Amino acid sequence: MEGINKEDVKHVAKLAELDISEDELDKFVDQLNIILKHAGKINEIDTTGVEPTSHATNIVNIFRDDIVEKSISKKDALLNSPKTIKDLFEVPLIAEE
Amino acid sequence: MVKERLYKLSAKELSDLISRREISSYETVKDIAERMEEVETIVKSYITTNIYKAIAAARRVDKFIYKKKRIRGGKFIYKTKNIELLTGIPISVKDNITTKGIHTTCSSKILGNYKPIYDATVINKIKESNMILTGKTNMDEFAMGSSTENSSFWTTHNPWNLKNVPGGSSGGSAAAVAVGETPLALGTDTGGSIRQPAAFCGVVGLKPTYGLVSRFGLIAFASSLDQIGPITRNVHDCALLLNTIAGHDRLDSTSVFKDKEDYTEYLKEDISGLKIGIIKELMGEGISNSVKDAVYKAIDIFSSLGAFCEEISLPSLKFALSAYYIIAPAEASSNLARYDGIRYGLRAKKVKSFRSMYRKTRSQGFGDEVKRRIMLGTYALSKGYYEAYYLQAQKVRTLIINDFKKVFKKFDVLISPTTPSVAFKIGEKFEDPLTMYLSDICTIPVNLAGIPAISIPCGLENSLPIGLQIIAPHFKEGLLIKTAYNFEKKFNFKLKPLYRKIRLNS
Repeated sequence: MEGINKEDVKHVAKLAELDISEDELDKFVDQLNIILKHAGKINEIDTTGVEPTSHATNIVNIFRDDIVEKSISKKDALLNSPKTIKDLFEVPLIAEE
Repeated sequence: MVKERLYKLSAKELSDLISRREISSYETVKDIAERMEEVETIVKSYITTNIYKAIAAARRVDKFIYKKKRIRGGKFIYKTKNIELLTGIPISVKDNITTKGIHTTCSSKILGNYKPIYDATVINKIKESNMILTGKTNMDEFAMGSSTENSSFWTTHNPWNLKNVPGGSSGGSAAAVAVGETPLALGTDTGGSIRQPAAFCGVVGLKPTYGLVSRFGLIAFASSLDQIGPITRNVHDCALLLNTIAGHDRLDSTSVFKDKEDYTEYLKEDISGLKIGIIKELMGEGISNSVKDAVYKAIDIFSSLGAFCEEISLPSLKFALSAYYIIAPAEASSNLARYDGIRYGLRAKKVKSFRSMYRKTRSQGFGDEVKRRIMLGTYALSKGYYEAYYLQAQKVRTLIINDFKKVFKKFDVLISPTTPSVAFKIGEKFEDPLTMYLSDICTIPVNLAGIPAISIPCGLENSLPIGLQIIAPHFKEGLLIKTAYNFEKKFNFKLKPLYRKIRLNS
């Protein structure tokens, strides 16, 4: 598999909502290439007919009864927010610049 | 007679003395506080200490233990008859486990000021057992790392040699237990983060079966792999702490319904006739000679105790590290999307739009390793790469599980080194992520398979401890306790940092 280049890293950073400066970019490209080269080894093994595992125990979909229980108060829910206004979380304009 | 310092005693020893009312919880916590004062500025195990609240809590526990009632004839007796084990015993907790009203940072700037409004289920359990929280321990940011150097606060030092790392990501918990800043600690293990630091610090660390211990209130890293478990000075303490934290929790949908066990029962059994498999793939290239020698000596000890040892091969383990570094970052990239600067944590200043706030907050709040893994995971899940990386890694995971299933038909437990080498120097691997990742090569397969494993000390190289890993099938923690305890009794390891005066430059 071919490696990851500057443009790929910029694209991935954008998808992950991270700003990566030009200075950092070279370092990350190099490091991610080394890691991906190692990770790419998984393609050396034949997995024809093998089912993927997403979770190592056999439990599936545990549901709770839909009963209203006491929940946290508004005051508590807002306690850790960096910015609030009255009973609400405050955020900057959602429309793009 | 010079009175022995209490910080040196194990949880079991302290517990016996407290229940016989020979010492109080207050005296215990106070001596731990004194030890912290002696060593903490140098070892730096804790991010947040909780000593004032701990002392108040110890006094409350003592009040309960020493409560008297009047009986006939004007005499008094103690009202509390059965003092449960671990009552009044100090414990430290890794800083990715949520504690109500106490800072929980994950060693990240993004959660630097976060004070949770609820307790994790394991915290409720230790509180119900009347244990005393001494503080929150240092770790690699979001548990991503193998040396605690990725903490955005500071690096914890290995109490055996201060120039070396304590391992990670639960490095603060392991160092605190090794140096006497607490007898018990909780850590978390996603790819070896309990066992590897336990090995580096010469203590006992157990990663339970996926689903045995509730993860409600654990800040998620890689949800199909994360588990909470005990870090202690000996196997008996490990069994006691596992008794406290194991059990079903309806608040964690991955928690398994299972009858409660008393893991201390397994301490009574011997291991004659036990079938032990030595994992060939983890005894070859990349493993240092002194580590291999220590494991071979451990095999001699097991044989002398009547166990049957034989080398076996799990061919797919060769691919475990590669698969892990796709799966764990992929899960992390999704889990860490929640850090948006809105409901909790850091928010970047001077931002005009919502989008730029989100991006700047994350860019300022996450350290390099976290960014690397988020990008790696995003890449592995992105269009065009999903099948070659993520899906293939999940299939390799199946092959690893099948390999374990196959060998467990023939063997009761498996052994390997916990780490390829002893604790490395601070700074040695910091700029080289892949080399750092390779230090988890022996522990990662266990997380992928969701099975339990324990690390116990089995030797020294240049005065640094070597860890032996014992692996068992799902929910066979009892078998791990039994095997490890029999070894520990015979091997008789001395935890030197407990008796050391810790000085700068020592």
